This record gives sequence, C-alpha cells and structure tokens, in this order.
Amino acid sequence: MRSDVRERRQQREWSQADLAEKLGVSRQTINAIETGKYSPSLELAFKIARLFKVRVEDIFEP
Amino acid sequence: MDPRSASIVAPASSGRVIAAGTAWLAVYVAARWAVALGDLADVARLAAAFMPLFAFYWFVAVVRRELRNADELQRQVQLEALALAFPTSMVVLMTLGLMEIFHGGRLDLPLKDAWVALPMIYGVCLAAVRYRYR
Repeated sequence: MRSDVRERRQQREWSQADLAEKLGVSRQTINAIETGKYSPSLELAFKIARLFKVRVEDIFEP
Repeated sequence: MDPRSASIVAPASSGRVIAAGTAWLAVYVAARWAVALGDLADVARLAAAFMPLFAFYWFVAVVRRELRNADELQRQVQLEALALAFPTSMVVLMTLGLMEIFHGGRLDLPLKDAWVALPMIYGVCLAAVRYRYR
C-alpha cells in the first residue's frame, strides 16, 4: 500500500521516532509503513489520519 | 499519547526476553550436569531433570508480557515467524525420523535433544521475517 506518511511527517519536521511516540507504535512500524512494506490496521490508519488532520484516503492509496 | 508507547518503542525481543532465555539455558545446562552426576538421590535427580520446565514457563511468561506491549507490526512478525517455523520444524524432524527409519534405527540420532532445533529454527525464521519488514 502506498502512502504519503513520510512526506507529511517531514513537512512537520518530525523524526520517525517522534511520529512513533505520538501514535504509540515502534519506530520500525513507522518505517515499514513509509516504505510500503506493511499495511497498517484500520485502527492505526485512522489514528495516523487524525494526527495529520486529513481523511484516511488522503494518506493511503491501495 | 498512548500510555503504552514507552514500552512499545523496543522490538518484542527486548533485553528482558534475552535475559529470560539465557537464564533458562543456564538452568537447563545446570540440570543436565546435575542429572549426569549420578550420585544424587532419585528425588533430587527428578527435581533437577524437571527444573528446566519451570524456568521455561517463566520464560514464556516474560515473552507473553512483552507481546502484550508489542505493537501490531511486531505481533504480525511473531505470527509470520511461527507460521514459517512450524512447517520448517516439521520438515526437519520428519527428515530425521525418516532417516532413522530408513537406516533401521542404526543412525542413533540424538532425538532426545531434537527439540533444540525448534528454537533455533524459530530464531532463523524470526530473523528472516524481521529482515523482510526492515
């Protein structure tokens, strides 16, 4: 699954560790989502969307 | 912020799991040594022989606690590692068993220690799955 989590994170000048802490997941999970190796659960996808104040479909693309 | 996030930052195979695994291994080696001594009373030998089971139960409890704190990717990694390790272990143990049968039991393979292969296979599978999600 493609996403623009990395771009949005970098726009806010957050490190992967910063974003991981805000979402309550590991830095490895953030890295795997950004590189498209892991598709997050709906719960985590909504958490990410809420954090960036956008809709899920604005961030993730199948 | 999720109150569990502080414990989520480290992967599931944290220092506590490694320490518990090392402690269990030490108990296992000590138990084998104690049983091999031969000059212990039967009850003491029996207790020593089964001591690794209690140590392993503690190890499992530590792993369970770590998994409860793990995030969704770490849980998926563990699940995939187990899904890969189970059939791989079956193949290894079946191969050893079939070789033993083919040679009419003359190979005298150390099957009582065959379980040692299981955590090793699991470790390899875990490393392979982690590498995939790296």
